[in-house]
Amino acid sequence: MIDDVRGRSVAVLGLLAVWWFVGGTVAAGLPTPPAVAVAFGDALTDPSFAESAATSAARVYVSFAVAAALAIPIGLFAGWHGPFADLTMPAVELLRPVPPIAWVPAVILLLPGTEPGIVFITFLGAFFPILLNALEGARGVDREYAKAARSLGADAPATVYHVALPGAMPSIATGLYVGMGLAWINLVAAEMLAGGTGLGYVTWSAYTGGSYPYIVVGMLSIGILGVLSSAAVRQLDRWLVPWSHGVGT
Amino acid sequence: MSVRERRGVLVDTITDAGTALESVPRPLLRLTSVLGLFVVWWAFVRVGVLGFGFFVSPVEALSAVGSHLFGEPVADGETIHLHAGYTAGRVFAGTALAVAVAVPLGLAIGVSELLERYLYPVVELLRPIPPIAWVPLALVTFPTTRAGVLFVVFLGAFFPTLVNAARGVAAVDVEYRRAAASLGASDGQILRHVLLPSALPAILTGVSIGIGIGWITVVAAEMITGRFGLGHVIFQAYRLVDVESVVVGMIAVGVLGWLSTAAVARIGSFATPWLDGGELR
Amino acid sequence: MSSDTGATAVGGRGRIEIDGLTKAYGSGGDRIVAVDGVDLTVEPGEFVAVLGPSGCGKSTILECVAGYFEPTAGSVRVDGEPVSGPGPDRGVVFQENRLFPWKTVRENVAFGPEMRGRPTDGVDGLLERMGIAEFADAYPGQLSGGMAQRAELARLLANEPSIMLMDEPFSALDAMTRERMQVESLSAWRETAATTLFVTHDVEEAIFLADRVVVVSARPGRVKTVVDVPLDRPRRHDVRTSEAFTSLKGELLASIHGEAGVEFAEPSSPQGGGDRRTGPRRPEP
Repeated sequence: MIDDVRGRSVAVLGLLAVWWFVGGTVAAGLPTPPAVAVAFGDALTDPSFAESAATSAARVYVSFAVAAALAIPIGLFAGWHGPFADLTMPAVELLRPVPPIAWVPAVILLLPGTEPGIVFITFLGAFFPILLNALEGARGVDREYAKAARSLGADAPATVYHVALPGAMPSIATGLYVGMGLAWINLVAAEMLAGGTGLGYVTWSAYTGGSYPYIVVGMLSIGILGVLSSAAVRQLDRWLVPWSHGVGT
Repeated sequence: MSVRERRGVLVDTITDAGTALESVPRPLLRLTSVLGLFVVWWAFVRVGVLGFGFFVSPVEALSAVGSHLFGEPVADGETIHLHAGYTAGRVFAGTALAVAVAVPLGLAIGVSELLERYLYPVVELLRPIPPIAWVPLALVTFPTTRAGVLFVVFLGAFFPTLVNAARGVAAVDVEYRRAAASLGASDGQILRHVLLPSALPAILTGVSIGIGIGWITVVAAEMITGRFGLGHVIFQAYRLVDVESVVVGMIAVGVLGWLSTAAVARIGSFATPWLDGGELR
Repeated sequence: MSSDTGATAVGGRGRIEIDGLTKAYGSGGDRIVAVDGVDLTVEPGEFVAVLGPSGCGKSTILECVAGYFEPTAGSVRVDGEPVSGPGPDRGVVFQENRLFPWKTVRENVAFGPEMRGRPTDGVDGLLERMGIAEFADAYPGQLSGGMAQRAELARLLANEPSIMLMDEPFSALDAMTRERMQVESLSAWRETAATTLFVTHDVEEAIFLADRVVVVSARPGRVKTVVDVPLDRPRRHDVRTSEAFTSLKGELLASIHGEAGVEFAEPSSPQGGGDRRTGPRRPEP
């Protein structure tokens, strides 16, 4: 453990050194570490910055929750019941290759106001990975378990709930983790584009406004929030799938 | 009827529907899915749900795609092909660069404990920052917008590839290394003949993810910084409320993205012939 | 010790001297002693079986000879030189098939000579003799268990090692294939006259193959007894029902079961097998 701390410190110091060097020589516009540190201090005490962070976080979590609530059942059914997959997945596969961010203009035209648009884009980002992973997960469940359940008296919905869902859980957990990451990526892009509020917008306007150190502050804040979200999903994974975290697995 | 009985009837109905679907030929179901999407779209435009009243109908969209494909210029006077070329070019250049750097570096990190200890923390620190968030900083640091956008695309493909390469190498079963050593292979030979091929599937997964993120990033970056590229086309069209072109842009991005993913999968299959061999056990 | 190996020894090479070999992991309260003070000398060209229950450290002895790690105490010498790492003079066949899945059978078998810059023209002949020539261009994933182990043996032989180290190589095969592979190992041994150290938990397998059987006790691994196998060579399948064979078997089983609290038939270590009631377990012979 001590070694890890040492390794990390060396790595971070090395990064700061390289950053400082690049800023001092090749790239004159790059804000220096001390300037960023000062800006960070300012931001931490600035209530509007906290508000932006809260706005971004709220958008991500709400979109993520809705995406999961929709994608998991649909994916589960599609993976469990072939014809249902044939009926739904082709349409999904047509829409999937379009990056959510490319939807922004269309969505702004279609939905009233920018907020629903941003939330929808973030939702889209999380939706597809969760859906696909739920589908794969359900597909991979050994059908022998279903037969066992039926022979014990379970009807179709009970089988889905007690066999398909737990069986697909590990895969769903992975999907949630990936989905959270993509939700953040798309949120930031949408905020930069459609703007108004949020960390993405703050980062972009720091650029257009010329206060360059705040760009880095914005980036770091996004990164930190992203890490916290992923860690939260990891915890959720541990809670949802206790049986695959045991000894010897 | 009691609640239980009502539930029973509902379950039976759904189960019957499910069973009925099983007898419908699969291509027909899939076609229904695709057509259904277009029908819903058309219906929304017809009825004017939300903002759909100002949106293009499927037919208009498809015919617009057709005409642009044949050279009709988009908003700024250039063809869609030119813009597609710019966007695709950025993705491929950025991804190729990322692979060229990330694979050797990832292998090195996976093999060397020293590197893992002192270099990998930097990766873990920078990785959570979405590539698109780097755009402003890149614009400030690099001399041209083009270079900045390329850098950001590179970043998007870099991290997944690196992480997967490092993990892939670390996960190689120690007994394969031992087997090679007991057959007389040197460390360098082990790297080339054992570690690299064994980690190849993981690396390819990383590249696949990387290209996906590369597309997301390039479109967003072009929208924000725009001059050439499909992202720019979409955004310009949006500004001019040229809904048709917005959709055309989206379709173009989708098609190209799909093609690149399929291409990576193809290359992957070709590079790993031992994986899809049929088991003769 | 059998003096008729059926071929001339490889210039008297391949003598293994294990002296007070001890291998321990961890420290303090968590210290696990896998092998404790093992002494064993194997003459060039001998076939020695190392017999013991799962997880008793017999694999560790083999791994020390192979050079995969250093002993905690004691020494392992090959032809007078201490072992300092793995090498082509000590060929290894693993329990799980370790043909490189990304290379064809031919590429696998030619791997050793290729890496050492030696000519590979003998490879096709070797494939023929091992009966796998028709799979030369197939990938290991396409082979059956028996074929794969045969190919792994061929890969080892292509390097003409002076020592062959085999770690329960046939435990995952079905009984018929296993018996065929035992005969294969004997012909490979006869042809190369390589000193062979063969780890197994199957008493019959040990007697059938070896000149001597070394019984190793469980945790920590220690040599319990060494039993000579004076049966005639070449060994045929019917030797298994002979009186001499049966009496040897009795002698070995008595030595093994004599150890209080250690059942031979049930895998009891966490690393080796699995509890009958819960998880997956290794296939039993």
